[in-house]
Amino acid sequence: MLVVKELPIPSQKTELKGFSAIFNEKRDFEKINLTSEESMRGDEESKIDAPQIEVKDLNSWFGDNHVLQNVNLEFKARTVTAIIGPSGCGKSTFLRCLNRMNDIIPEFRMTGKVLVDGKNIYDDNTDVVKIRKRIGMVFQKPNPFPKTIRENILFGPLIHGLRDRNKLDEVLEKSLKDAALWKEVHDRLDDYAFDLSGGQQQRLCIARALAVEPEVILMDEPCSALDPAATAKIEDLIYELSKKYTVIIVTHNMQQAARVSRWTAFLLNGVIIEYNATEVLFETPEKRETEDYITGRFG
Amino acid sequence: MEVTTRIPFHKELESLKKTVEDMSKLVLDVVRGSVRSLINQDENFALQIIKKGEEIDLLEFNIEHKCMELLALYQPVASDLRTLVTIIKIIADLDRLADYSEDICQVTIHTHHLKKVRELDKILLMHGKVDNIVRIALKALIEGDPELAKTLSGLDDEVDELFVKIIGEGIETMKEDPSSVQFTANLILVSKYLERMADHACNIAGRTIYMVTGKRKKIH
Repeated sequence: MLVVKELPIPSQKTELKGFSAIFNEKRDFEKINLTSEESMRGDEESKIDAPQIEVKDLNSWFGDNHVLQNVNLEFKARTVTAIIGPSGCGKSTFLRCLNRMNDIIPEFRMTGKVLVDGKNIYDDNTDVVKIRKRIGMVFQKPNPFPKTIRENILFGPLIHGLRDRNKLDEVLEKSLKDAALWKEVHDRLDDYAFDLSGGQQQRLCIARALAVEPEVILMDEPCSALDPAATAKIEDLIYELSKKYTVIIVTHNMQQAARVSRWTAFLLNGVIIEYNATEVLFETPEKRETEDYITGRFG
Repeated sequence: MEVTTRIPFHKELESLKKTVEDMSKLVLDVVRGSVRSLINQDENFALQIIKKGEEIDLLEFNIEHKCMELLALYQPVASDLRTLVTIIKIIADLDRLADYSEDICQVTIHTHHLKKVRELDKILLMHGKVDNIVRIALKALIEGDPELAKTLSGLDDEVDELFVKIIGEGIETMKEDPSSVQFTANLILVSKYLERMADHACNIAGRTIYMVTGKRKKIH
């Protein structure tokens, strides 16, 4: 592997850098040497690694239950960040804080800020619908609307006022292509969405999220109801999506986090224990709790 | 092997570590035995040691197989992953230690009938130092003690010095007494084997540090 070549020549009695440090160097290296395809994306690309979402001092409660405690995290733009942790640690609650999905739950209360490109989405004058348009979400179980494939995809754009037929067709094709579903459904766009397989339905839901041109995609256990083949497709898709979108994925499946993400946050009892480059977290975690959790020695 | 139920990963890992410990102890025996056979010019003992080497080969094979199995079935991470990968690397070093011991035994077999030469004392001295390094490296490995592993830094230099000395003096001896050439030339080979053994022991120490701390450190 490349990495081996980059190992510094060991001199006597000097400590070698951990692989983690070398991986980090490699990442920087990749950033500078964009491939021609990437550099063609121009301005978009220049924003790479700018913290697109910044969570500051986030605390939240369900009734008396202090679910999230002093969470501070930055999500880098156009990369995949995974949030792992045991059941009930607050992963999903946290994810739902990022596009105000918890607002509708009566006993929910929170303090702190979620800054999207520097602007707090919990400011009083925030248009919540717009926020959810910018920050799309995909859920654990595929939840297509009981409508046709076409209607599912165009539901969002229509609500947001798009009427031009050509534009709508464009959005339909682009969203399905981006979600790697076009090839499988292009000749049956008016079929009922529930006729698709589970994996296809999930990609349809991703396409539906993409149709309103979000910047961020939140995924809550997007593969937990899928078989390994469908999971592999979604994971490939996540990689493709991360070239354009900021992807934040919540998963119980540590191998999945390891496979798809660049950064991983470990959440335990509502507290962020460790936030690190994924390869560091899985090779040489810095915190004892992380080590115990990912090696299954927990509890 | 009959296995009726799957054994939990951490139990498997513990029993694997135990096997590595067994292999280490066997290797230490073989290293010591090989030089003893040489010094005592004991051909039979050399043959016994060579026999033990076969056991080590088998252990190496079994351990590697087990590591692959655990990697495939459990996809371990963090310290578990480091431990498995370190074991895979270390058993190669252990095997080399055993191979060099076997080479020394072969020297015993070829030279046991010859008149002793003075370089034998130097070999004994060199072996004392190498034995110490191997012992410390294996103890650090078995106990997972990076601090102990670090104490090996620098010890290898003394071995290298002795190696150079033995070559120089060996050449002198061969010039003075042509009848000593066969034995002395072989002892120069043995000194090279011992020097390499110390290097492999240092590799083991370096990898032990990585296994436990996740930090890479080269021990010389």
